[in-house]
Amino acid sequence: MSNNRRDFIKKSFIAGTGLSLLSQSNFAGSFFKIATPDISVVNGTDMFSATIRAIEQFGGINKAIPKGAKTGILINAPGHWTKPGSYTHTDVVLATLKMLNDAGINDITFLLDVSSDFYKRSSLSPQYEYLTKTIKKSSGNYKEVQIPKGVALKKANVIEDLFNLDAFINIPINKHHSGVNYTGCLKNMMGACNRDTNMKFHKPGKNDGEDGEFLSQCIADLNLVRKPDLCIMDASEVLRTNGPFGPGEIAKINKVFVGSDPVMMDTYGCTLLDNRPEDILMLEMARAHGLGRTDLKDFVIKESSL
Amino acid sequence: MKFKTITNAVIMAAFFFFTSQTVAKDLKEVLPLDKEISNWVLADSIGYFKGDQLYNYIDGGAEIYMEYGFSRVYSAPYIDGSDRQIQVELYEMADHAAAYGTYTFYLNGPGEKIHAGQEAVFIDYYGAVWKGNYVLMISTPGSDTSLKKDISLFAKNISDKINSTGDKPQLVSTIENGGLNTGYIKYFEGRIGLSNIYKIIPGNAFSFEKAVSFENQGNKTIIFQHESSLSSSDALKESLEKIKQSNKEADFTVNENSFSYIDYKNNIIICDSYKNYLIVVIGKNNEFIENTLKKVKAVL
Repeated sequence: MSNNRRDFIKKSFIAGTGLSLLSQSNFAGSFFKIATPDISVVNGTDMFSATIRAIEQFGGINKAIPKGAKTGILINAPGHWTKPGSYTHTDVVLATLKMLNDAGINDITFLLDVSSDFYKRSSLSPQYEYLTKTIKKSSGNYKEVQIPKGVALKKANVIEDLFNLDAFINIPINKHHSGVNYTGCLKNMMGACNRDTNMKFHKPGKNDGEDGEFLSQCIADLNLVRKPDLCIMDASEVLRTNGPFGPGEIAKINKVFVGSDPVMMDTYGCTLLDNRPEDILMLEMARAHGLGRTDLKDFVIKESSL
Repeated sequence: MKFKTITNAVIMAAFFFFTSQTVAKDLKEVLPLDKEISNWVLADSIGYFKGDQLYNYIDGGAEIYMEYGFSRVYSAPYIDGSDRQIQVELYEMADHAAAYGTYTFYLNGPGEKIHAGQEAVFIDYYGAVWKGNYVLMISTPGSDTSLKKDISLFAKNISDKINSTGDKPQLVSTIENGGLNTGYIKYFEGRIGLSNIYKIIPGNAFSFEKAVSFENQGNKTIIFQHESSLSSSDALKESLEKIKQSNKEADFTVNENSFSYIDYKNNIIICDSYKNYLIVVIGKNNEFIENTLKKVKAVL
């Protein structure tokens, strides 16, 4: 056997052994996990670009929403949210609409209509008017749904559009909330309910229990109605105090993060405002309902910067 | 007799109805008319919400107002010739303490003084005014800091028309007159107000009806007012039990009238029952904390 052939066999043997060991190692496992993270985080002040990158880093829109899907979007920007840091950043929404369009998803409905001046809040709006003008408005019709597994909330009046969709995207803002200390994906679901239902969350007829317990349980129960397929969280400049309405101290977190598990998203998101997940009651309540995970240390988070 | 009773009831009902309409109309009339202030005009209809209707206006944002004691609000959007926007919200609260407390809820820094109402301040992109039972919030939708002059004009214009004055809560005056270098003082009356100041675990650790908070030497100080030294002492014991339950890993130092521990943010927290007050001081340096505690006790 020539030296070259012997050398080739030797190197092949070493390489093969190495690959075999690698495939069974944690490193390889981690490599594949990072390729498909639980949460994709992008840092930057350009919220449009950060959103695009965060979705791509997560695996792309089609990872969660199939092409051609009739899609509903719930944005935290109704008419009365006007104070800085209280509503979802317009650029996050515009970027999402662009990604949806590029991915062949064009039948889109807003589950809660945005403020009439929502698009005026971004200089990018004119260039994406071809997308925003095709968005269907909320029907404004609510239907009563039963929540048999609800602990505090047994029924709710929910926007009927939510039940006529193939896919649902939740786009909240990551901010302080005076009643429950934090609001993100889980609490944003209240935007899909009518006033009567929401008032019951805030006024149970008795005291609210300890530390917003009743409100937290209602929020967890509500999330049993329908889980989002994708969550895109605006954590750009958000209320650190005096939420949800403001005005208050603004935290310049400058992040957008994406995931499909709303409980994981909120577990991570609340820490950006110096909360401990175990102190945000709705998280454990939602976890107990099987709605997602709260084991922050085991989350696979892929983070990058613009 | 029965007919007379019914008639009187109808007359009384009509009296109260028309009176309330008159009061509602009067309050609305303090809002500036088109071009009363430079080129500012109403951009849309004026919103009016009273009692529980506040939840229709601002959803969960209503809770803090309810905690203080809320009566009604007028909300009016204005726009000028350059498309700039100002939002005016005129809140009537249950009493002047509630109004003052709501005003301090808006304070996130010392801000710049505005000469309007009994007290007024401009912070970043909004102005807040307190006068009697009323709180005025004037803000811009974006964080537009260029509208300070216009906000000040709105503040003065509206507050000058409000016929109401009142005293600050006694506890606030006590602290203000005590010579402590406090910056701005917040006054609050419940759990939600406290949670906006500092997150103490658990959120219901302290039972109280009136409290103030301020900063001194880098420490945050909270003073809960009770009816008597006995109730203050009982409150201390109750708080200790609740906080211990929720902070099982913390080491507590307990004395007859006080306890201390280090919380999850690595802040030292000292709780001290003194006269009919429960004083909580939060900071990083034990010596500074003790010094603050001493100064506060000297004032109370």
